[in-house]
Amino acid sequence: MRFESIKMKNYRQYRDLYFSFEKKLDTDLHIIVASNGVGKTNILNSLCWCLYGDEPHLGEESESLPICNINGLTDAKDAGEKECVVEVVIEATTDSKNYTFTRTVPVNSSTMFVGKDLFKITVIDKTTGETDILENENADERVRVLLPREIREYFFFDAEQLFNYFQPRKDSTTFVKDAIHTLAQVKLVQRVHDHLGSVIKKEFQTPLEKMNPQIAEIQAEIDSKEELKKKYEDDIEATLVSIQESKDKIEENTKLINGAESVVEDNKHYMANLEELDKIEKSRQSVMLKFQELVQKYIPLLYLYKVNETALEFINSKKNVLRPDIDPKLLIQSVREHVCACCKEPLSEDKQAEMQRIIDKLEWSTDVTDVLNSVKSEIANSISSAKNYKKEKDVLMEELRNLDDRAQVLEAENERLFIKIRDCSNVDGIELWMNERKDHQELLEQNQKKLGVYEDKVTEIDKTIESLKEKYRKSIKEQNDSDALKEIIEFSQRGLDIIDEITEEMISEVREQMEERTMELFKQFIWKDNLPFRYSKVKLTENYKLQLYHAVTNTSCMGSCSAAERQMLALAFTIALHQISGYDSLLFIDTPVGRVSDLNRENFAKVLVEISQTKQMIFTFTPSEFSEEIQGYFNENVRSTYRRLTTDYTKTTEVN
Amino acid sequence: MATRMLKVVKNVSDNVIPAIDHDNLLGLKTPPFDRCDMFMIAMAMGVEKGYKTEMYDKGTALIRETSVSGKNNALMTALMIEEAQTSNEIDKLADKDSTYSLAQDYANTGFTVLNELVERLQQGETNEDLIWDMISNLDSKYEELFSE
Repeated sequence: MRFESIKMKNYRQYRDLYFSFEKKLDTDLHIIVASNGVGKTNILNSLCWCLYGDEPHLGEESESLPICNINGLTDAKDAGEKECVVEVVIEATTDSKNYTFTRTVPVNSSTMFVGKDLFKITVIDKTTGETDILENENADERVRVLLPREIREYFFFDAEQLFNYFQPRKDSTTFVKDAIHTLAQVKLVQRVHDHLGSVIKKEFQTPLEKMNPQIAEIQAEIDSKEELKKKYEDDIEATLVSIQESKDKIEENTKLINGAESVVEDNKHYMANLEELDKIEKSRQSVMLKFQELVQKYIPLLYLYKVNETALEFINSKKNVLRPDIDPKLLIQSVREHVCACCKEPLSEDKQAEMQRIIDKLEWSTDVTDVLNSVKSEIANSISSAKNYKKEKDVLMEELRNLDDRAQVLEAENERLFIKIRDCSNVDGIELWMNERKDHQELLEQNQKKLGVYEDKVTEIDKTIESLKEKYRKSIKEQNDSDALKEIIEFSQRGLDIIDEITEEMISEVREQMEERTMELFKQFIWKDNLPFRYSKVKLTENYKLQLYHAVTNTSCMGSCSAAERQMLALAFTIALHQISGYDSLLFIDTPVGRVSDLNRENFAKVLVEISQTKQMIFTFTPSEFSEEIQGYFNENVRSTYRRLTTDYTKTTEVN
Repeated sequence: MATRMLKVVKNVSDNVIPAIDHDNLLGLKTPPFDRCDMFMIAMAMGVEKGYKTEMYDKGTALIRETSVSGKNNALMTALMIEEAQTSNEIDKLADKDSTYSLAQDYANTGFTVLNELVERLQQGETNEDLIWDMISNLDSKYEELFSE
């Protein structure tokens, strides 16, 4: 199917816009150029809204605005009209029919309340001219046939988001799985399977089970085991998604860390050293205080040492002259009165003479001797203390030396560590990534164990189901009075098994085709003649993960691909899907070369032009993306139409 | 009876001591170190300098006699003993005023040394620099006193 035209009326910033996509050349290529904010992505949204009733690519600004054009609403209100109608019309053709897809929705011009939208398809048979009008559910059904919603992201998409389609999702469905199943018509076959199954059950099994309750019991058990198996399969799928997420995260973080694990440890070591250096500095200050106290103590002791020494010598030399512990006045009185002043005994002449001799020896006054006696021991202490200076000082010097030596060692270490960590500007980031990676490694391990358990369970249940089915078949065989019924059931069961096998084969065939064609296209996109091609094959894993294999190591190397290569792989898959699916519809890509590097653009552009010889392609670009180089590839010789969208000051978008 | 006081000249009390306090020279402001201890250091520095500087004004009271510890009292007395011996005036030992006067004169010299240290601080040297200087002087003194 190809689009002939799109018309938008009052849709978002488009008041009244018409695009024609007339094919004027052999190539069916159409270009729309518009700056960011003009409404490029809303063209994509308008297609989705018209066909599917939703707008999956709305930006934040658009989300906060009504679907109806603001000027349209204002004009309607000014004209006294109750409603402003939003309308998008797509004219499309296939080989045999012309289609007009029209979706409208009324919006209250005062309250901006959005009414119920109406979807209509007008189908005109090219041969007979017969017209068929389909509305709402019927119209939706026709769209399901022509352009299934499940794979619409492979027809209309924003190229920068494309690779996200290949990531596993938590709701355990994947775009890729949906795509493969849709291509393989699995749903159709599944419906046949389910229908046959329900016919078998209703018309043949149930009557048989009524004849033999044991058969019913076995069937009930089989059903219960199938249900349990389904639950485990769902768990397996969810676990696989989680495993893939963890693997991707581990890979991503390993890239981010980029061998800088040691930086975190080095940084911790560096910081610890800084802390210790800080403590050493504080200790050093404390030691300096002690030195200060040493100075305070020993200045008087050492500077006055000689003075003290002289004084003590003098005091010691006069010890015989120092007043004994008696009052000289008592001696004088005793001599005068010839009686001892203490014991009142008369004194002999000898004793009086002795006393007089003592009195004569007391050369100084009582005060002087008091003074000398009082300071003697203090002076002796001072002299003795002075001698301790060196010992005390040496202890402090040793302490200081130890601190300085340790500080030197730490500073040298930190100098080395600083060189190692200075080139890393994001130590905290690395630590975060390392922790995140570690968490995911643990989670991965847990999930892998879980997966093993679930898979074992499924295997066990399969065996049980198999043995129950065998038991069921045996029970049916042993049922003597229902040979015909038994034959039909057996035959039908074989039919179901065959349908299952066919489904698997169909999926497998489509998968192989997709893998092969994706690889061919991918090679065309990125291969340069003068360089060996690095990749050998593309695989779709059991859980529909797209894997790219290295030509030499034959291992998956998706993690080492550049963003551009991944985008091109996604694009290759998309084109392969178009070609294999038979949904020969257009490809509408918003910003197709967003992430493609200069080296690959030429290849990319050439392939797209080639494909446009058999498929309609509509691209939107920003002016900067539609560079001279790109214009060269998509020049007027290959493009059928070219539109440049502009806005005036009212933000209404027009075409020139 | 009036309390006997240890005095310093006005310049020392108005300028030198405040400067010492402001920069906490050699920790002389930090308790338990007190004014009397500071006075003794000044006196010791004066003795080490080798000369006393007579008080040229009637002086400003700094320390009460009752605040002078036995140890510090002994240091001043030892100085007086030396002086009294030299002048053969032993009786002067009983004259506390003479002892105080002598101590004050030597301290006066010492405060000029302390003032020089304060100026060095103000010119950018650190307390640590001065401590190492003092240690060096004390090392030399120790060597002089106790080397064999």
